[in-house]
Amino acid sequence: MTLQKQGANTGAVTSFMISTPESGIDSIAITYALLDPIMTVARPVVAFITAAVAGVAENLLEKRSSDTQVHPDLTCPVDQCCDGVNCRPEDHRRHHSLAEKLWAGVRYAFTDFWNDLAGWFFFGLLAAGLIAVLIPDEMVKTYLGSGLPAMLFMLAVGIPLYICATASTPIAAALILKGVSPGAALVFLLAGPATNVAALTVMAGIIGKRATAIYLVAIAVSTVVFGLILDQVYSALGVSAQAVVSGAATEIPTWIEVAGALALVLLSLPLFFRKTREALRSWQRYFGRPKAVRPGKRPTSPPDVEPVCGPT
Amino acid sequence: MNFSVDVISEAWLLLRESGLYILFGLLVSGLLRVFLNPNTIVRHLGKGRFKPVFKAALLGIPIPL
Repeated sequence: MTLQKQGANTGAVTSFMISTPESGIDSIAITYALLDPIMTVARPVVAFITAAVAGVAENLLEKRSSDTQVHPDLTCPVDQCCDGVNCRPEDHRRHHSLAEKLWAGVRYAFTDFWNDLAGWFFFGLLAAGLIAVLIPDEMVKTYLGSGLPAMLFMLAVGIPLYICATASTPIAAALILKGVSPGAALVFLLAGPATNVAALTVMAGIIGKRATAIYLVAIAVSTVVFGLILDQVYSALGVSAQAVVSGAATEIPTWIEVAGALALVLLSLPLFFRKTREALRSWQRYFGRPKAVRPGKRPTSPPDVEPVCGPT
Repeated sequence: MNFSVDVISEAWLLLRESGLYILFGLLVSGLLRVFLNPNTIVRHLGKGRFKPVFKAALLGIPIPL
């Protein structure tokens, strides 16, 4: 949504809005872990094509040019020391040393970024567990095994549902293990993150109803087409996605895997405690006795500071 | 009871398989955020019907939401 403000046309905005949620370094890494190499390549490649198709369709079908030129957000990503507006790019780049930047990146990765992702990811894991336990294999094989009906079903589930790319991966793995074709799983992996009811409503307001309709149709058509192609690729190569996914990569020693999993759980604990505390507090507000306000513990807001260029 | 144990153990298995890769993905994404200047994205998009679209699609691939 920020790109349009920064002066790109509707097509470029659309294409960025599709390819960003559909794939990222994090979701590519988890696809390699839980699915297989073919999917790991297919996912970003098809995400790129879907995004490009939708963007070009947008620019060809939209008559009005909607280029707008507004200043991009240049706020310093390290510590927001500076908004980068009243300062030359060369100076702006040298506010922080390389070590500071590296550390800021690492800190962001394992705090804010993971906090945004963790809830969805654990939800994805549980949903995958439920699918594995609840859904009978025969049912999937009969109705969702392969072909166009399976893809259309995945589209019908994926379009209204919001699920981020990382969280959709364990679900896709569980579906493939149940016998869903890799192409149908790809439709879910792409349509799930790229669209949802709330975002479509917001988009209609930003880029217009017509552009949103083009966006939706472009995603639906291109994901299904590439789902069908992917199934052909698997059968041409004689690879069974089900077999590859179940025969998980075993080169990594178990204790390292367990350490990685535990590290993720540990990283999520602060978020978990914060959410629990918030939930308890709102529960108390509705059902509990009103607590006496303790004097002297009122939070004080920091004084407003004018943004200055760089740390002094 | 048995049911929830089954669900949790399936989820744990997936977590074990993906944990390391997710840590790696998070790390790279975090670094990407610090080193990729949003200004360069805009400068490289430019105008036109096709080129900015392909560039935007390509830049969106590694960037996580």
